[in-house]
Amino acid sequence: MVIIIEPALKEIKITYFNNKNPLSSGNLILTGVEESEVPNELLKILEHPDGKERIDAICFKIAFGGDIFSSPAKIDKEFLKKFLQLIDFSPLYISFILRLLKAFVQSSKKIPLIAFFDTSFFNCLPKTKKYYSLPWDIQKKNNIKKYGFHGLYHKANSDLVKKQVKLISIILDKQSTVCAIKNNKPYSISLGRTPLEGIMSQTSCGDVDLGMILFLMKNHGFSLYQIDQILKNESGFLGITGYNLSVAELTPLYGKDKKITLAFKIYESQILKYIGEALSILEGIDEIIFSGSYTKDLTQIIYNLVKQMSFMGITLSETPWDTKETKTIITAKDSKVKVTINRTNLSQIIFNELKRTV
Amino acid sequence: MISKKNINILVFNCGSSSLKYKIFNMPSQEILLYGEAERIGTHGQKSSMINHYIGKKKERIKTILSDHNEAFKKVMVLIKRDGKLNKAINFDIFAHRYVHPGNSFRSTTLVTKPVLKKLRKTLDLAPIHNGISYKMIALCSEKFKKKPQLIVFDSTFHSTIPQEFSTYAIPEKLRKKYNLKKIGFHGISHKYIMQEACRFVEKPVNTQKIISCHLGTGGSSVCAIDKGKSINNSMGFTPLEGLMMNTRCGDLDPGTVFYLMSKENLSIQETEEILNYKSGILGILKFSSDLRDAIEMINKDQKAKMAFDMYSQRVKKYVFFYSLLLQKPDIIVFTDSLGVLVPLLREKICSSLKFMDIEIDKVKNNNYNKGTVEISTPSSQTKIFILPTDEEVMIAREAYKEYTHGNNN
Repeated sequence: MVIIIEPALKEIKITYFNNKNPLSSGNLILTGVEESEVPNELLKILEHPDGKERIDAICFKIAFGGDIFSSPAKIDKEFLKKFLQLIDFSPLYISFILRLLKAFVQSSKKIPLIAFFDTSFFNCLPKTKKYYSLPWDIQKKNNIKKYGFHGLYHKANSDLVKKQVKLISIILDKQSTVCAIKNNKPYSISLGRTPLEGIMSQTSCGDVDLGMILFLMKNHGFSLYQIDQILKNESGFLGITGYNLSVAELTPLYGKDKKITLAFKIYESQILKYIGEALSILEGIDEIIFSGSYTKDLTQIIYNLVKQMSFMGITLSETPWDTKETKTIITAKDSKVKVTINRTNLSQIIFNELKRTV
Repeated sequence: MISKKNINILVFNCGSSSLKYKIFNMPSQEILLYGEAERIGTHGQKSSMINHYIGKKKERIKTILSDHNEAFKKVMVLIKRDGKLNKAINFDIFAHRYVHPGNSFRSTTLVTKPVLKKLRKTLDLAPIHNGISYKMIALCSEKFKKKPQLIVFDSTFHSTIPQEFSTYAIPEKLRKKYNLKKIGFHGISHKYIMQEACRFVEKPVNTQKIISCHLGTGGSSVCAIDKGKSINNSMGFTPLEGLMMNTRCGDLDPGTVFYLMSKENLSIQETEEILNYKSGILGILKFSSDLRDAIEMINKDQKAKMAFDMYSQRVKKYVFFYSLLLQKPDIIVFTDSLGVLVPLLREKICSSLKFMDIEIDKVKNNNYNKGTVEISTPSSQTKIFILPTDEEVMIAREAYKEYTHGNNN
């Protein structure tokens, strides 16, 4: 049996993959997790493995691996030392993960523990996309660069196509990202250092004018902390609609409620901007793959985005699209560009990666 | 209802590192003299200068221009000198371009004391441009008390940008309270480009989809124009958003800026200074803020290549984004100093559009001399133009209209 753990602040997702009987695989979500402690339920999985199969490996999805981890890594004491070096980047998240991993290292000496990073895929991002248009010395001194996001998703999509294919990989999830891929390598990514960049989410703003932010701080007395809170936790779909609901929950009201419709149109335009960036780097397009846990709920958005690109010779197949298979091609046979929805979830992606690496 | 009143208008157009001036006879639009103070306060290798023209006579005056007020004073000396030699050279009113009026001004406005006071409150909206323009307008009304001054605003053309492109995804309460939305800039230039490009292809403006790339040594912006209306502009509530510029950062992760502010213990003023004056091309290149200096070194210096690549990639990002919004443009125009004078930049941007059947003619692109020139191949589905902008004539037209017809024309 393999266990995949996706820890996030406040919520930990655990998925079991049984070797003998895949059907008895399952998952468990721990909510209300305090970042200062390791939940007992989590460590219990070591004592009483579900279905009584032996645990072969426990994999952890980790959002950030900096420059240190450019591939999956075995978690041991040496690993913890290296991982601690990243603390400065996101003190809250890194210390939370550290505490959790430490507990596992101490109590499960024989079971292999493996870390999979969402940033590793982007370690070879071209320089012009990695660095910002800030003074060079300041960037160097503070190690300012783009580390990327959703690398596990984007890599999985990249692995689905041949090397020469010009691919745009779009993840619609709690965060949404767009990535340009060629030669199975990333050439652009909409999000990559802090969650504020790129495309808006349920509560974060996506691209804004920094001049406007400075204006609010300078002329209206907003503190750094206040502004950061507003842009992170009170903006995005919440900021436009007033509803603190997930993007998936808001979709039924698209076209019915004025503010919700506006929010989705802004969301679409932000995604289009990064599709534009990806196109400009690839200088062409062969395939587009949509993934992420919201693809099921956001078919209307996917439809609108692809429709907007129809002038490039993309013809959609008739709706409703098949949702039974994990992968659905949504373009007609004569379409110049193949567009696929890939519904493989993240734990499955990590499980597949594990099988490949072992 | 065209007034027959014949007046001369002295137009001033401040860029972040330049000051253009022209005296127009209106309504004939005949130019009496014109010129440009260049590289004002830049940290480049070449010194600042004033190029001054009367008819075919050209003077090239190398001089130190540490700020715009110094340039203004030196230009006024030249004009006064010319007026003494030739009585036909004179002016009745001033007209200034002003980039960011916030929500205080919506149309061309005559300067009065209350107007100046109101204008002063808009300084922080565009630290580079507004500061320069305001100081000049203030100096002008102090030195030339009897001459009327009119201000023409840069944001008017962008008032048609649809809500989904002008709304930031931030709390509604905040947006309403402080009138926060995409305002857009270079509107005078983008409007001129739209009109002239359509005149050139002999098509009505309301039939054309245009991407206008205003790439200057100071500010740069791209505009998507659909059927005569601006529908998007890469600049935002302030000119800091969008493209990478000479010293401005353009699009940048706000979270990264917050990180820097706390890590380096930067004040808001210091942050503003870094993002507006020390970033962009200067930030990467270090020794100059002028893209042309980067191009000169492109094969010898890694940073020079990186600065050029980063700059051109940002322009490409917006050209492609707007190509998607417009579902392929009919016309792409390059204008302002970098847009007109840097063939490599146009080639880099346009060659990536080939898969959309948009094709640049490299020979025409490299052999550009002057005026409006089409540089696309005959088979290209989109026409590509080099079209030098003329904000001054637009400013003169707007100022003339307001001065002779008054409000609500």
